[in-house]
Amino acid sequence: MKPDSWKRLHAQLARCCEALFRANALEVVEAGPVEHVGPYAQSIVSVIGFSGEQLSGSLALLLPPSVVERSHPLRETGPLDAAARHDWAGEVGNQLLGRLKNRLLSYGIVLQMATPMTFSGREVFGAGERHEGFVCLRFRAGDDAFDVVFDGAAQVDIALDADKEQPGADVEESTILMF
Amino acid sequence: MGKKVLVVDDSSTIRQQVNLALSQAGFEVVEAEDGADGIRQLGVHPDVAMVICDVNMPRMNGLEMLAQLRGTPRVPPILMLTTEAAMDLVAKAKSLGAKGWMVKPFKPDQLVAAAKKLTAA
Repeated sequence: MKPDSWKRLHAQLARCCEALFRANALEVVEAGPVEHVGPYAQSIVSVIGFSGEQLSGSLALLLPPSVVERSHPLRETGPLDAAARHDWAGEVGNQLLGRLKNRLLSYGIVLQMATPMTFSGREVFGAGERHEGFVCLRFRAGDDAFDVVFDGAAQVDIALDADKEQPGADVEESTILMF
Repeated sequence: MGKKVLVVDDSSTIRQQVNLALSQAGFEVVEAEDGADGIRQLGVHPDVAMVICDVNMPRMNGLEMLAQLRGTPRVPPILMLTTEAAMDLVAKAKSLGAKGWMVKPFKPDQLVAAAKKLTAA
């Protein structure tokens, strides 16, 4: 994949992330790519893989518990235990990859998603890879920060052409079709 | 008791979110964590009036569950609730008997309206 196509894909990922958290009442802003993942004092890590004939790889989110709690759909119903935080972190990974997958459909790129897994730890840290399909994007949500890591491998002849980009044709989340 | 709805999703957050929305609208909700569990719960609760089902789940996904239920007697209407929006998947679900498709995240009032419509018969 050409470098400008990777940049376009990473930009799509950033927009998807901002929209996903906005849909869950948390305004987040991309702060740009960073060299290293984390570290944060405490993190829940959500990892989900994807495959396809054109593109495969994995997506990971490094989320401080405060970001998970502030975006949790049931945050107003009572205290959230560790299981609830982990489940939501996994679902955020699932929904973020789902959004990206749906945007990539407009470029003819089809992904199959795995199911997410989560784990947590203190001072989780990751060194950045050095290939063009890899990016670590940092986001800020008020005083909180979190990282989204995309590690993709593509066939060289794939391109996300600007003239195929259809921001107005994005699939609307919450769309309902009755048969 | 209101009409019974089975929610099949591997995320407990989504199951609880759906449960909360439907319970407040008068529905009774039972839950399953994947397609295999969903089929088992339909056996335990033959009075289920509607199923809300995710697509991507471990063990048995939502489309596999639809395929397995196809042809069995008294299958309640099934609404797919998923992050997936590819039209080929939508068409496949429709061909397997699903009655609707909703892309996450859902709006509670839309979900309740769909549940009322699909359980009205």
